[in-house]
Amino acid sequence: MLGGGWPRGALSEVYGPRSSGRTSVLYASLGAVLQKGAAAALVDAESALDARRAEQAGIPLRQLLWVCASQSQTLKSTELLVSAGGFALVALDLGDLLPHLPPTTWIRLRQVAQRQGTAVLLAAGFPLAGSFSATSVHLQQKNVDFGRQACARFRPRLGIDDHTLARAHPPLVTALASSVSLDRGRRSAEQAAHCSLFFQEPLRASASGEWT
Amino acid sequence: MLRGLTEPHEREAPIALAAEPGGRALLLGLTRTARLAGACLGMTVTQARAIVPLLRVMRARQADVDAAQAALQDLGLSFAPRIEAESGRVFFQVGDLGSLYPSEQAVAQATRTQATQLGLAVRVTIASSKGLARVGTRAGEIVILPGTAEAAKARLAGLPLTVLDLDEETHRTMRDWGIKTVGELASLPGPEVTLRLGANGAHFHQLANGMDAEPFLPQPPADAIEEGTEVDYTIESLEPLSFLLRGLLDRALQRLACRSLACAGLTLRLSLTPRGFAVREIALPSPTREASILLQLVRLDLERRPPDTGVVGMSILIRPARIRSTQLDLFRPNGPAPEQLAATIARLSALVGPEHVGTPCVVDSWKEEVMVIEPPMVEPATRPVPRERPRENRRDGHDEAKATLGIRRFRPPRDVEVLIGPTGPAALRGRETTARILVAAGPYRMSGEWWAGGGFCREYWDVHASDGALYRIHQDRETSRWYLDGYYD
Repeated sequence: MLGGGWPRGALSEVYGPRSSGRTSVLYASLGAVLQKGAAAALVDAESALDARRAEQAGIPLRQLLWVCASQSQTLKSTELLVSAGGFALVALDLGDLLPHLPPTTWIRLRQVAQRQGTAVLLAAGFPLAGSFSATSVHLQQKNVDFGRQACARFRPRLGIDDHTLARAHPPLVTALASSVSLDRGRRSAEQAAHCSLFFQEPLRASASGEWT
Repeated sequence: MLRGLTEPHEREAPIALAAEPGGRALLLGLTRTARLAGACLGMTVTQARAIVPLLRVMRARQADVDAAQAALQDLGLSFAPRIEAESGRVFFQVGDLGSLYPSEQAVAQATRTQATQLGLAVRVTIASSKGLARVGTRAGEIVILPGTAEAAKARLAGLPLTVLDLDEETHRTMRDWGIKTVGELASLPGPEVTLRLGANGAHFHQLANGMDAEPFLPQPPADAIEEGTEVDYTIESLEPLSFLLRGLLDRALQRLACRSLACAGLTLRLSLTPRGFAVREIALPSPTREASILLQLVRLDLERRPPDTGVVGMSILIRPARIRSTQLDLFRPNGPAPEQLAATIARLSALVGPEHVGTPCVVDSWKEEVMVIEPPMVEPATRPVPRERPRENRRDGHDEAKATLGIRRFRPPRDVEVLIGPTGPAALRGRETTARILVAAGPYRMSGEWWAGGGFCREYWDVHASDGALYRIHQDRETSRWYLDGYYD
């Protein structure tokens, strides 16, 4: 949909309300960069990173530089990381925060990213960078799946009936589907239309009921 | 010892250092202006003031004396791995430096240049033994004595006896005998000198003949580098403290550079008034040689925990570490240079605190929210094992990509009120959200760690709230309180 991923040397943003999938997109982007052996950093304004989920999303944790900054320190931390050079991706996760920042902030960040050839990805609840971002992606929640996680192979051994099993393993979230719209990017809106993202729980039940 | 003069105007003024107050104290150090005006090392304060009326005499603080001695040792270590130090001197072997410097004169000049960078004014002598080297330092700024005894004897012949640093009795005897130069002493018969002047006289006679049997006894270098200073007034605020601290850090880092080392951590010790000390440990994510980063970290620590009373002195103890060179990989994408990354990490630590910069690490615990942050890895990582990428497929005519569902944690978990309906949680009320629960999936009970003393028993629910968010909540079965762990995103 993006026509080649997040552009290097530019500022990109992904925004959406809670449970729209922006954090999953962030994890997937970091994982993709780190899996290739490049360097990536995450500036976390709310200290919201879940290490287990990040690892399951394909992020090699030992290679990720994680900075927990307060709201007033996030932009400065991001600038320091981008200015250092050598990072393929610097992600700034603002979560639900709505910092009041002058437009010059984004201009400065974009210029530094351009100089260093680093992709800067901003994840927030609202569009913040405006026209200063090269790519802007809007996520909206489309559907939530609540599945039943049944462990069929243990059933005969332990003599557990279906009712007991349902009580012991109640349904939890298994998947989240989001619709994606491209506000700004290298591809046109028509080219980027009809896209959706499907986020799955790492442990889910297959059709046969076995653990996968 | 003049290294403690940090103000620029001090270094240009005629200032001398003396070991003790009073007119009879000997001068231990002089600024260039004082030297040019006619004052010399070894003069008494009264003599110097007679020549330079505007001379300002400062008392040499013991901390400065110790720091200067330590800097002298580092000067030696920058040229040779083994040194021997004595008060005001350092000896090191230069025989292996032939491949680095074209001549002994070049070695001596390089030593003086390095000493100037460390703030030391030194005299350099290259000789075949320690005793002859001591003689040479009294003879001139740079003295190269030939390697053979005969040649050294000829070189020393014309020098006055003062270069031998005779004791008072021997000096009186030499004066009585009419011996004024080193050559005249060397021409005396050795057994007769020994008979009349004893072992001391024999030693000076041997030196005058260019011979010396004193062995070179190298000492291991100190594990840590210490710099300190004391002031005559009380420092109450952070700015003047930072100014003095910057001077100490600059000097210490210059000494580290002599050893090709960097600072891996430092201990700051503040002398408080009227008595007592305050000690601060500053940890670094990676070795660094940048004084600005160290100063910023120390300032951050002092702002958080200022000393209780005024400060009258300070010392820093730096733990040296080697900066390891790393070999980059031709097949890995370019990453930040290790040294640049280390400096960036140190700056980030100074900005947000060292405990907030690092790599996340999963903890082996049944509590799903527990994780730790470990010191960041500075060296480039090994090549990763390629993982299977999520397959893209088409579903109902739409492009669809699959990824792992992420979760955002509230740290700490937020207190929330949960209204319970017939089928489970029905509504949430709290600081984060107030909403009806549309779908509640659960409970999923987890308990454990009772063996470690702090057991837990929780009931987890995934709830789809009317504000659109997919929250993860849990009830602590022991306290019956509800908490908002985070939301899927």
